[in-house]
Amino acid sequence: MRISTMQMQQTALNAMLDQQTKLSKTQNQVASGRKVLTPADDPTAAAQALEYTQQLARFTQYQNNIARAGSSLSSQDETLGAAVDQLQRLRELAVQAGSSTLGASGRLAISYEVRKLNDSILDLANTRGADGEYLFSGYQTQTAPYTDAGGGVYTYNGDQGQRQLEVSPSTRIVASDSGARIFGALPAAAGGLTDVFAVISKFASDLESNTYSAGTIRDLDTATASIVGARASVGARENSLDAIKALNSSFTQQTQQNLSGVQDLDYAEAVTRLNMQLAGLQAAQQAFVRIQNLSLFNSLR
Amino acid sequence: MTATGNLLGTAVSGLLAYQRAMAATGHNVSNANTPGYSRQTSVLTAQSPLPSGGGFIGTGVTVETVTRAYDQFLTAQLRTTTSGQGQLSTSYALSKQIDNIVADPQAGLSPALQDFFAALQTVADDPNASSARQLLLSQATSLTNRFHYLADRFNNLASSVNTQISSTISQANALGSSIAKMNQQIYELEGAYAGQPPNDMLDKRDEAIRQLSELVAVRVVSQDNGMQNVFIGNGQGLVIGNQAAVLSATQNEFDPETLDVSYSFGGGTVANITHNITGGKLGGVIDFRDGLLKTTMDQLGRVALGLSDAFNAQHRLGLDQGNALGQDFFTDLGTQVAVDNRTNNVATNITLTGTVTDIGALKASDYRIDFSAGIYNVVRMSDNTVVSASASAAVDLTATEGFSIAAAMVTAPTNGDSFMLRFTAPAAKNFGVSITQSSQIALAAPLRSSATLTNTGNGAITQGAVSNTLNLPMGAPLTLTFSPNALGAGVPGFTVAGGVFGPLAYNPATEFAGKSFTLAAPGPAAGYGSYTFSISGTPSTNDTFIIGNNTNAASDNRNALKLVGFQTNPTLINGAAGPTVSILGAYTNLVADVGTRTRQADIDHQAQQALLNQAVESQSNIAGVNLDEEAANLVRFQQAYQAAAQMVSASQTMFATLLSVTRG
Repeated sequence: MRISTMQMQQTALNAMLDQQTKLSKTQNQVASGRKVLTPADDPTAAAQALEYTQQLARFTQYQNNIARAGSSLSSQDETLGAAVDQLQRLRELAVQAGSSTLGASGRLAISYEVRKLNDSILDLANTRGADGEYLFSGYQTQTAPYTDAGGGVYTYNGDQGQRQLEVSPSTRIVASDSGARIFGALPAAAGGLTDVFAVISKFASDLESNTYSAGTIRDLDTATASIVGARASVGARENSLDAIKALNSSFTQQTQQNLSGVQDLDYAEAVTRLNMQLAGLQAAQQAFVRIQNLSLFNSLR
Repeated sequence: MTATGNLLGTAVSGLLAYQRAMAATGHNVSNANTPGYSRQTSVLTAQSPLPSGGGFIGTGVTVETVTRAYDQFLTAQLRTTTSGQGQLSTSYALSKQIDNIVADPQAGLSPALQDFFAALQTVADDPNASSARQLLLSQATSLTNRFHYLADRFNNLASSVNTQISSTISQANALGSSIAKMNQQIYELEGAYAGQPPNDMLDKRDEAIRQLSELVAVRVVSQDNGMQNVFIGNGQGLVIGNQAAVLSATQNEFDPETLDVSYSFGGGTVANITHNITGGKLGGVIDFRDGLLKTTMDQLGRVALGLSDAFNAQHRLGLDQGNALGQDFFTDLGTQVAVDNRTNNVATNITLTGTVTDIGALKASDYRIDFSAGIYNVVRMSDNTVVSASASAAVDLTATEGFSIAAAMVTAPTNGDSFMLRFTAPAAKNFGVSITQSSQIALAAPLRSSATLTNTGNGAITQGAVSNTLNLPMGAPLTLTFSPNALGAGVPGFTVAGGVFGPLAYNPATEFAGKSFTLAAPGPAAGYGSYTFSISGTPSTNDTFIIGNNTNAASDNRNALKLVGFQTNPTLINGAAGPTVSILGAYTNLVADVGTRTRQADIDHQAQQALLNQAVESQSNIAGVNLDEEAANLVRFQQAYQAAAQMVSASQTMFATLLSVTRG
C-alpha cells in the first residue's frame, strides 16, 4: 500500500488542527466558567438555563412585591394601632363622662379632648403612604377617604376596591383596604348604621350640651372592635407574607443551584481534559517533526 | 555487422527510454504538492524483435506512452463527498452565527422580556406612580430595540446569503467556461497526437470539476470524444461539450431582497432553479436560508406578534389614567396586505388583506395564495400544504391557521397569478410601541362593584373583570337589589335597575359560597363588556350592590395583573385545550431549536468531513506522489541508464576490436 507524501503531511496537520480546536474550546470553557458556550453545545441545558434565569428574575420581582406589600401593610398596621389607642382613651373619657358627679364645666372640658381625638382619628383614616397616596380609599388613592360634611356627618369618598399584589406564582395578597368598612358601616346602639367619626362627634356635642348618651360606650366598643378586626386581618396578611417570602427564597436558592448545575463548568474535569488535550497536541507535533525528517532522498548522496 | 549495429541501437534505446522514465520521475517529484496532480508513469515496452534463423533477436526498449494514475470511481466519489462537505460546512458555519446570536444570555430577547415584565410588575404594585409608568414605557422601548437588533442580525445573515449566492454563481460560471475550454483543448490534443492522453490537461480539468463540486453538486458524463459534460440541479447542463451555461442571481418573484439562482443555456430562456440546487456551497446557503434562518425569523416574529397581539387585546380592556379605555400598547402587527408576484398579469388588481384572528392558532410560516382555474389556493409554505381552496378570495382560516383574508377586487386575477401573505416574517422588524404617554397605560379595570354600606345582610360582591368593551363606559350604574321573590314567588335573586337586564337568580341558601354572573346578552345589545363578578353570602331583602364606571381609580391594578399574566400564561401554539406556550417559552423554544439544529449541522458536517478525508486519502493513495517511491524509481532508472551506457561502451569496444583485426 502506498500513501502519497502530501496526504501523509495533510493527515498529520489535520490531526493537529483537530487537537487545537478541542483545546481552544476547553480553554474558552475554563476562561468563562461556563459548560455551555452556545446553545449548540447542549440545547436542552441552554433552554433550561434560560428558563431558570427567567424564574429567578420573576422571583426577584415577587420578593420586591412582597417588600412593597409589607411596607403598605405595616403602614396600615401602625395607623390602625394608633386609632385603637385613641379609641381606648375615648372609652376612658366616656366612662368618666358617665359619672353623675361631673358637672357641665367638667363635661365641656372633656369635650375639648374628645374633639381633638376625633380630629386625630380622622387624620389617621386619611393617612397617606410613603408615595403620597391615601391608605384607606380603595382604588381612588388620590381622594381623601373621609371628609367632615359638617353637623356631625362624615362622608366616605372612596370605593371598595382592594389592590392585590402578586407575591408568588399562585398567591396574590391584598395590600390595601377600603376604609368604608373599617371606620364606617358600624351598627349603632340606637339602630341603623353609623361611623366612628359620627359616634365621637355626637359624644362631643352631647358633652357640650351637658348630656350623656348611654349608647356611647357601646358604639365606641363597636368601632374599636371593627378597627381591631381590620388590624388583625392586616397582621395575618403580614404573617403570610413572611411565610411566602421564606418559601420564595428557598425556591430561589434551589433554582440557582439548578441553574449552576446546567450551565457552570466542573473545573476539575475541565482542567484534566485540558491537560490531556495539551499532551495530545504536543505528541502530535513531535511525531510530525520526526516523520518529516524521514526521506529516502536524504540518503541518496 | 548486424550484431554490433543492433547492440548499439538496443543500448541507445535503453538510454533514451530511461531518460524519459527519469523525466517522468522528475515531473512527479516537482509536482508532489500540486493540487489535482496525478502521478505519471512511463510505460516501457520491448521493441519489435528482428526475426532470424536463430530466433527473434531483441532490439531494445521504447516508451509506449505516459499514463497517469487515475481511478474514475475514486474521482467521482471525491466529487460527491466534496459537494456534501461544501453544503454541510457552509450551512454549519452560517447556523453557528445564529447560534452565537442567541447564545449570549445578555444579548438575547430573554433579558429584555424579563425587564419589561419586571417593570410591569412594578407598575402593578404602584399604578399611580408616574416614575413606574415611565419606566414601563422605556422598558417597552428597550424591548422594541432588542427585537429590532435581532431582526437586523438575521437580516444581515440574509444579505450575506445573497452575497454568497452572487459570488458562488460567478465562480461557478468561471469554472464552467474554463471546463468548456479545456474540453475543446483536450479534444484537439487527442486528435493531434494519435490518441495519446494529455495527462496534465486531464488533471487540470478534473481539478476544475472538483472545484466546481465545492460550489454545487455535479454529475459528470464522459463523451467518446474526450469531452466531459457537467450537469447540476436536476439535469441542467452547466457544461455541454465546449459550451457553458450561464447562472445568474435574480430577485425573488415576491421579495426583491432575496436572490434566487437562475439558469440559461446558449442565450435560451432563463429558468429559476433555486430549489433544484443541491450540494456545495450554493446548496448550503440556500438550505440555510430556507431552513434555519427562515424558521428562526418566523419564530422570533411569532413571539413579537404574539406579545403585541395578546398584550394589545388585554390593554384595550383596561382604563387609563384619563378614565378612557386603553388603546393599542404596541404597534398592531396582525394586519398584513399580500404582495403580488412580479410575474402576475399587469391587469390583475386585487388587494388581499390578512388579519390575525387567533394568535394561538397562527403558524410560524408564510402563505402563498395561488389563483388557478378560478380557485384561490392558500398554501402554507413551511410545509407546502394547501390549507384552503375556495372560489372566493375572502376566506376565514381562524380555526386552523389563526387568520382570515379579506379581498378588495377591482380586476380579477388571471390563472397562474399568485400572492404572498406574511405575518411572522416581518413582525420582529416592525415591532414597536404605539402609545406615547405614560398616562395612556391602561392598568385599571373599566368597571367596579360595591356593596351599599347600609346593607344589613352579609352579602358580598367581588371586583370583576370585563372581556370586551361593549357599552363601556356605562351610561348609568346598575343597581342590583336582593329580593326573596325576584324571579317570582319564592324564587330569590336580584332585580337589576339601570339597564335592560332581567333579574339574576341567586339563592343564598344554596349559593352562599359564591355564584358567578356575567353582564352579557341578553341585555342592552350584548351587555356591559361581559363584566364577570361573583356574589356570595346572605344578603337581606332590599340590600343592594352597585356596578359602575371605575373612574379615578388611581391605584386599581386589575388590568395590570392581567397584563403581567402574559409573562407565564400560555398564549401561543394551540393544543387540544387552548394555547400551550407562553411568550417567554416560545423564545426559549427558539433557542433550543437553534441549538439542536446547529448541533445537528455540526455532527453532520464532521461526519461528512471524515468521509471527505477518506475519499481524499483513497484518491491520493492512487494518484498522489510518494517521494520515497520516486527516489527508489530514480535509483532504479539511473542504474538502468548507467547499464545502457555501459552497453554503448561495450559495443564500441567490440567495434574497435573488429577494426583492429581487419587492420592487422
